[in-house]
Amino acid sequence: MNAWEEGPALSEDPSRRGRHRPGALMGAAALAVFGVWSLSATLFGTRTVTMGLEGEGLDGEARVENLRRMNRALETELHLAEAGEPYILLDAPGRVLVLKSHGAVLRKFPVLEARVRVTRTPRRGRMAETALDTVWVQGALLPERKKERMVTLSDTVSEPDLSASVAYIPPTPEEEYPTPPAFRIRCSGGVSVLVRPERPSAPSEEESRPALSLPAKMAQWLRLRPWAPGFMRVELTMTEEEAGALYRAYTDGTPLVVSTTNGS
Amino acid sequence: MALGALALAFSGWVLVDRKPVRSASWREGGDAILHPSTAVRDSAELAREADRLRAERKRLEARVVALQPRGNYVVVDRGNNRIYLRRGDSVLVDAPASTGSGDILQETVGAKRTWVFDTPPGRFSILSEREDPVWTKPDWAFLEEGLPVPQRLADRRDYGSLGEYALDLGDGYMIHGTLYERLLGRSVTHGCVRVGREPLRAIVSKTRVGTPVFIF
Repeated sequence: MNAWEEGPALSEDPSRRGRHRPGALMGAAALAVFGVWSLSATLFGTRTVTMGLEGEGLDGEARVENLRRMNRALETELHLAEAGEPYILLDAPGRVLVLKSHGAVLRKFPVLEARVRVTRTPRRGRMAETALDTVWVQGALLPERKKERMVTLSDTVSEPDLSASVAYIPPTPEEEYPTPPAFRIRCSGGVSVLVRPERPSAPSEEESRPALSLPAKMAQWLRLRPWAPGFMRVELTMTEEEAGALYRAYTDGTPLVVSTTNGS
Repeated sequence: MALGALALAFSGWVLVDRKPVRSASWREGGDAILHPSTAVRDSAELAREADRLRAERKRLEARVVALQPRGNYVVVDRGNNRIYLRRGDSVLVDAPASTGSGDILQETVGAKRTWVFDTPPGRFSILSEREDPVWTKPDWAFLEEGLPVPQRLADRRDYGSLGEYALDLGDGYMIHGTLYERLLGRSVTHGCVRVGREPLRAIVSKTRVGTPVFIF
């Protein structure tokens, strides 16, 4: 008996192991994909919270409750504006995401479509109700935007060569951080915003690029961490330009308020 | 496979973060969502409550508005390398800009200082507006070119490279013009905000000392 055959992990014929590996890997991958899909489908079902509770048409008690929620949203914004740090206000009925600081509008990102999806479980569903019109904190961008910094040591620098005809031109933000197919802002406590850029339907430069391979597509999908715990997800559709601008402008940790109420 | 999927789904369920969204400083008054009002009964009472809430809303709106800049203000978007001049919801100027490269320069001899060339985020205000500004080059400007740091102030003067105007934000940071307009929209500066000639003229004509500048 060969020595390497004695180990428990190598107990079978290596030629047989080689034949079985692709099938086993594919099976495991399929199982993992199906498991993640089923997990996602279990947690985020079809229950959708209506956004944009109109003041008109509500009965007395519902109207009063709507007013209360509006006031709470305003109180929240007041706290954030007084704190002095930038914050994001997602005005769902107004279909706009506004980056503000000290109450001043810094930039607006129009939203084409917005909806809230919550977990199907009753307790978590109630928690989702409490998450509306409150502040979501410790947001983190997925996939993250990595900044590479070049470090120069002063004694390694020589006088610039003025005769050089080609100087290095760094990329634009759009070239450095192109709009991902989808991205998330994941906040603490199990709430997140999923942004999907709406690609132009007309033939474009985008379509002339080579299509992503299946592994690359899967890698992109996994970078969104679909298995990450959570009980509430706001899904936004934006134009590719606005989604890209938001992706490049968002700073991790920026507080986010989702407002689902509008005027009565 | 189905069993495996079930196991995965169950493990995900177990692993779900069960902490509710609660941030003490922001949750004041939030319990009303959990416990909807039961005190309100008849329509007269409801009407009175609605009036009280509307009055409260006006008071809160006034407080938010009071925090906002009253006139024009400048906004710099570092992630997209753009500069805006805004007045409330209106955008008066929207132009490409250049912001900090994010690179690092380390001095290997002497004081062994380190410079990080970032444009700082935050709320600033214009401290002074200068026409045909002269740049007094700091030490890093010589070190990064491999040149000795001059001792005489006159040897640090640089004429023309800041363009027609410079708006001083403090700590050496400025919004200014540039000789290199082809680099606008790219992260190439040492922390200042470079703007093209025409947008800079428009911004200077509509701002003054004290105008707020927001950098995010």
